[in-house]
Amino acid sequence: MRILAHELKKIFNIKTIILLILINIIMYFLFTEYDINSFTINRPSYDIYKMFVEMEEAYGEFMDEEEFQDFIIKYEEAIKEADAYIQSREDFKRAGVNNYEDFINMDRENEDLNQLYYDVVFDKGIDVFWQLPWRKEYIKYYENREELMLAQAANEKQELRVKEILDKGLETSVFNHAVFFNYNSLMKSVSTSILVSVMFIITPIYLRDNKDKINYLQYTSKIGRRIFKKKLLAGLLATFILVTIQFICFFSIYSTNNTSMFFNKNINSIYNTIISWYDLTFIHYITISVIGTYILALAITLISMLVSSLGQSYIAVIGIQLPIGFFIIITASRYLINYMTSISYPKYFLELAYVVLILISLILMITRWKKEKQADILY
Amino acid sequence: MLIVTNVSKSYGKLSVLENIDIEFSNGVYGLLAPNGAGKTTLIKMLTTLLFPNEGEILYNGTNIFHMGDGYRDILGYLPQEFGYYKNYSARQFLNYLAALKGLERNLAKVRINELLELVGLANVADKKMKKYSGGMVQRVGIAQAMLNDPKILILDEPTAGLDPKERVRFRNLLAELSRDKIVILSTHIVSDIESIANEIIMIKDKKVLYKDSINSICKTLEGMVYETSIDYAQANRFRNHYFSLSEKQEGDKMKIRFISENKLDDSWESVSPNIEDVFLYVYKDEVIKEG
Repeated sequence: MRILAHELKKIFNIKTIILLILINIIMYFLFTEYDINSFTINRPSYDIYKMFVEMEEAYGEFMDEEEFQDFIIKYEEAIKEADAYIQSREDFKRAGVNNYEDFINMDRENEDLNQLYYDVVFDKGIDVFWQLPWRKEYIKYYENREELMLAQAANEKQELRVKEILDKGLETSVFNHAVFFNYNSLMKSVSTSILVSVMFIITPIYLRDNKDKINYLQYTSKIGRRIFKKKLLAGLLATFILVTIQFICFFSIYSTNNTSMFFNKNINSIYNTIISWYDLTFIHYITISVIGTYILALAITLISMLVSSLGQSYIAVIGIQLPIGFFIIITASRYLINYMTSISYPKYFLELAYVVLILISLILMITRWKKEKQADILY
Repeated sequence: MLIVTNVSKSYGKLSVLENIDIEFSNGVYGLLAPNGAGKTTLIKMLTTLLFPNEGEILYNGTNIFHMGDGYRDILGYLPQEFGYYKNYSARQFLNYLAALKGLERNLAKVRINELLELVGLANVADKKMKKYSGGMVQRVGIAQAMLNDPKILILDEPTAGLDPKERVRFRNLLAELSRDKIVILSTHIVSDIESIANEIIMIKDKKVLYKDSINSICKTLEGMVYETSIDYAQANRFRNHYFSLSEKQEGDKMKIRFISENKLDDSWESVSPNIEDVFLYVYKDEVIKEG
């Protein structure tokens, strides 16, 4: 336990912590900040979000036929609101635009009319004009949901899954792509920050001691070559601590996006952009993405430690580490963290990919440990 | 007792040591050979860093590689290249190594204080080691080797980087520490071990050439070491005929210490050979190469 504590102290030394904080601040402002701040600013995603908050309050988890009729009424009320707004403005009257119907059919080639459109939508940013096209779109989605859902199936297995969703009525879930896309985008950047941070703290773990010949003292002390395993354990523990801290920070920031009302909503909604192989709620999806990131981080820890134990100089280790890290991060953010469990991939692709990653990294490290036990320590 | 039996070591096709047989009992052993003769290879095998290709190393009858923890628990080692964490203080670093050596926390605290006192670093024990001189770092190295009160203490080139004053201090320290232990001190600096080693081991051509007391080894050159004064003009001719051990200026003449199998001139004064004479003579080929 004392040795483990010493090894952890070596990993989390002051210099490393300061650099780690700097790296994360830079990564936050480069990749994460936009998706946090823009969520409550960007249009129409925030309008969609507000519409769904309202739907969630009114309809709950799913929108049934009766509730859909209410949704249509709300759409009509919104049109009336838009009509009233248009009629309250003299410039619209002069241009011969008397209601929302006229507004959407305006000839936007006409400079004056285009100017009016811009004034309402972009300059004044009147909410109802942003919401109405989407309300209309979602009514169409609901009415044609079976057809639209089935259109997303490219093969028999996918079709079976879509039919299963339709049978269960999950497609009417009050969940939307604005929240889902935002979360995925954030998760991509956060997992990248996590993996870069892990590589940064883990890379020196064996290299520093081997390069500075401290391994001579370690291997000839009572613990001997078992220090290799202690460092391995310390590395995995350090990664776990680091990832947990980073997730705590991330979810504290993410909570400001205020999406908790959607946590228990099924993600296989007609209003979302994923069809999953599984009946997942948003909180299930979040949990899976967190577990996935932990697994990726632990796998990259093992691989970084392997490279660290083989190299003799920082330049050599970074030279090997960078392409491996780059490959894992790109693959992870494209296939392993983004749109997890989607039917666009074969059903067991995700599980298999993670199992293969874990197995490869474990086998490599176990082989390395077996070699280390028998190796001549020349350097 | 530590016994090296018929040990050979090679790196690929390059053979470094062949059929080495040595027995160590309590006392100070000087492992004396020029750089590259295989001293560090032998030491690394004695410290379990390298595995012999042939033969075995036994401690009290058990193979040290089978003893594992049990052997390393009684081992103290100062490597030729002593690595340390620059941002650690001596106390922090010794604490870390005490944990690796399995010393109980309270015992380690007492032992570290004792050793820091012994090596004269008590007053700077909490300063970062990056502020230490080479000699101070080497003293931390000696302290760490002594942490577990080892029965076998192996020091590889321990005086490298030390100034003459520190070398004397180290020799005195070692004489004090070496009671009831096997101390193996590897060096190519003869004066390091001349005064403290009970026995000298010399390795040549991958084999043990001598393992004996200093007196016995010196006797191998008995009647062969002479001193004489010659003109500078004759120096080159003289060196061509006899192996020169040392030369120094004395007035307008050069006093030369050399090897000759017979006394061929009355002016030659026969002197007692010392271990440095033997070293230079035995390794004359290597000395010439290094020179």
